[in-house]
Amino acid sequence: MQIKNEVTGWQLFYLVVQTQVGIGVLSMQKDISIVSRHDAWISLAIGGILIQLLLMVFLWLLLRAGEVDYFILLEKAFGQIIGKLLAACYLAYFIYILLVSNLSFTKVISEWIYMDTPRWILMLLFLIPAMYCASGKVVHIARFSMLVSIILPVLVMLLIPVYSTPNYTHFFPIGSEGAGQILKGLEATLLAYIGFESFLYFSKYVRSNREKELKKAAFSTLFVTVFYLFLLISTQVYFHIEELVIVPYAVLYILKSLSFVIVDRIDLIFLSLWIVIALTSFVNFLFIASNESKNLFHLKSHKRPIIFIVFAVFVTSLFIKEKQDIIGVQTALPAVAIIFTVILPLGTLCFYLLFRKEKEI
Amino acid sequence: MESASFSKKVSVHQTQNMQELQEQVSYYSGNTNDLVMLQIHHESIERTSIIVYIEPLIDSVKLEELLEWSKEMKWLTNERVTSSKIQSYDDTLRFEQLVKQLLEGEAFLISMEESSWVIEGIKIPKKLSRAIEEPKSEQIVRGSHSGFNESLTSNIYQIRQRLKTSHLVIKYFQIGKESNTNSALIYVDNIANLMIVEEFIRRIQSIDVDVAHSVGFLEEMLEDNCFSPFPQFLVTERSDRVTGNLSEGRIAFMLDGSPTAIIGPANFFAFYQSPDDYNGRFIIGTFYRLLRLCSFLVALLLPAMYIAIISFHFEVIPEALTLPTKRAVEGIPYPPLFEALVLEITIELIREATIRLPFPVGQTIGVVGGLVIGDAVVNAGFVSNVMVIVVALTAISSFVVPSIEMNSTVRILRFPFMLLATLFGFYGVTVGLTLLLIHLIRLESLGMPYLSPFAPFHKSGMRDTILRMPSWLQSTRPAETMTLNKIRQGFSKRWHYANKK
Repeated sequence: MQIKNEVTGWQLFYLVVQTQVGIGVLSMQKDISIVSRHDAWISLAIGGILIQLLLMVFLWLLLRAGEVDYFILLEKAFGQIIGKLLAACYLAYFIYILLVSNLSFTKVISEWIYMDTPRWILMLLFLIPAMYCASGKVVHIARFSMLVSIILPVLVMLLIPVYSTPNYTHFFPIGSEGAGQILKGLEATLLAYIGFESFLYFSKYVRSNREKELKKAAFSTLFVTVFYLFLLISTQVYFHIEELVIVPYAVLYILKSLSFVIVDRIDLIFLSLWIVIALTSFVNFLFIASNESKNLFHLKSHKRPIIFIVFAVFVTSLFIKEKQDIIGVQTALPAVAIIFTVILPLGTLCFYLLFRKEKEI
Repeated sequence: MESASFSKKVSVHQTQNMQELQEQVSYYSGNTNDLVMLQIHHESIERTSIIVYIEPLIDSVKLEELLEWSKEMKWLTNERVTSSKIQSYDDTLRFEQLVKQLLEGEAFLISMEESSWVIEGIKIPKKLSRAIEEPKSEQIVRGSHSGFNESLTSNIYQIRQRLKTSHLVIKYFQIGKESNTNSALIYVDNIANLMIVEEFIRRIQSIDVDVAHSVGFLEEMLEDNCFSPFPQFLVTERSDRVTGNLSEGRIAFMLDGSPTAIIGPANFFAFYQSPDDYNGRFIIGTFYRLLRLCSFLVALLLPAMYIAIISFHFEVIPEALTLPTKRAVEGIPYPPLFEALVLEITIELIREATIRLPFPVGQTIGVVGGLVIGDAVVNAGFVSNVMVIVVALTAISSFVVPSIEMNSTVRILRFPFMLLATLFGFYGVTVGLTLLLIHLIRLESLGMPYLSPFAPFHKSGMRDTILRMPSWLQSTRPAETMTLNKIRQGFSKRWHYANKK
């Protein structure tokens, strides 16, 4: 007997959440604070709301486009050649994201715990489970994402001791940085939210009761926004802004300073758990990328592209060793991300709907 | 050997006389010596008959009784009587069939009457089976103490006694080209999902073995993924466990000669349920259920975590414990993995030794092995005393699981975790756990997800997996059996609310 290759609304919800929440969460606080200073939380909230609105537009358009694979939609909207070309660009973008994700993951883990372990071993230990997971069906990945989400409340609970001695003065004066800085901070915010577009790619697996189930999942970014806001506010309550801009992984520093009766240094245990969260984000992108290349190159299964993509990511990562290079790789991400996650999808969906309307008349 | 004039015949009517018939039967049953062919005479009738049977398979007292009865009644009156035990065959009976029936414990009375054969089969198989007693591997404190034995009919009797419903279906299959072992597929047809039943039948029918030794032997051919370390069928020797699962929509499979039933589709949490949970109070049941599930994590991860902490993350130990741990570990010449392996293998040795030995000696070995070796090894300075604590706790936790299969799985799985912890610390353990989790998510039992109430998530499934809610609240059947008949029971506590009014 075969399980139906179908995803429920809640599973899609967690798929999108887990694609968004990755290793970037640990460095997000610093990145946003550098730009928006103590108004970082406003940037984050605005970013979240904007992306939530964008998702609503996606939802509205998707419900009209019907049950289609996004990459087939590309071809239908722009014609075969341009569509194929765009799909290839998407593939490159996904590999780029996977590369960034792998690099920043290895960076965190080698800076925080495993200073002496060779980087390629850390990478392999990350990539092998990812390959195994991504080679499954979409239901397996959805279940994995859902199960792993238990770790998110764990982080929330671990951070609650911060509120025993909160310093709310760190937020004041609210809005003093000015609208310019706050909006500038949106760029850094976008990095944390990347992954929301997976809603587009995974939505084709929601088959039964489509409208209702997709609506459930569309609110995933709201959940992520609240979660991020909690993390950011917790760190802002704990660190002064001058500290926050130099502390690379604020959450880890907080956990390091907390001491419990049974275990010390929960940051070590927590980071080991957070690996799984980073992994789901990687796995979901890997799955999308491999499924896209399956369609692009007319392959039978998505397992072979996984090997190629992971191999490419692994080999490229080996050459990018220095800290400066790793940061350099990431600099292009916000601009590229805006093109591939906002402009292109919106354009494609609108184009497709308009084009189809004309055809129908 | 056979005479030169011997030629193989297919069915009984092709033979002409008694001599030839005897030769044919003897040939088809492989000229075996325990085949008995007796000629019987009766003074009043001019007729010779033979009775054919395989001696060890026949209840000789009953045979004698039946012979007496047939002599008095039938031979005189020449009337053919059939009963539940006696069946008459016409002479187109094939020898192959005849021998097969002989092997089932049937005796044949064959006589020549007006130049045609008259054949009667008398079913009097010898029934020897162990008494119904509590299975040693699944003892419980309260509740039924009856378990299966080696006789299939007796086992089915036990199930039928507990589920007296017309919907209980038993399907027989003969497995094994040489052994022709009877097996039974048991399900309740208005509860079980018939797609699952069909899938199981398809799997049974594809089995092509010479001898069906035991259920465990067939299990490998029936399960979805035999390379997985996890058992995909619940194995039990308890009849109450089988009926409980049947009533939830699962199916059971039993083999003649094995006191065990396999039950599918099983999920991970089914291995942590014990009949004891349902016989006691629900709070206590829930507590023990949670304890068992925690024991899974402890048995799997405790040595690995200890090794990871000692060799990588010493700073995790809180301040007050640092010195005692440091003192214990310092003088040990070996790496923690080696220490752990020595102790783990010692415990496995003790376990294996006590199984083979008679009970009183086994206890002595336990004492000598556990206490003496454990103490001496610490005093000699080979192994740290913390490691002894860790390994002993792990061993106890691994034996808490009510199912032997899952128990061995956990014991085997902790070795890779120990290795990962030695090489990569917490990170290695997490990678191992992730791989395990993905494997469990992808694993299926009869096509149904193995980690069911969690992945895919079913809220209603929580009532009887990690928790054991009061039985009157468990009004729906578990979702992972895909039963179409979801409602298990009505509201049994209505009287309580009626009183309030």
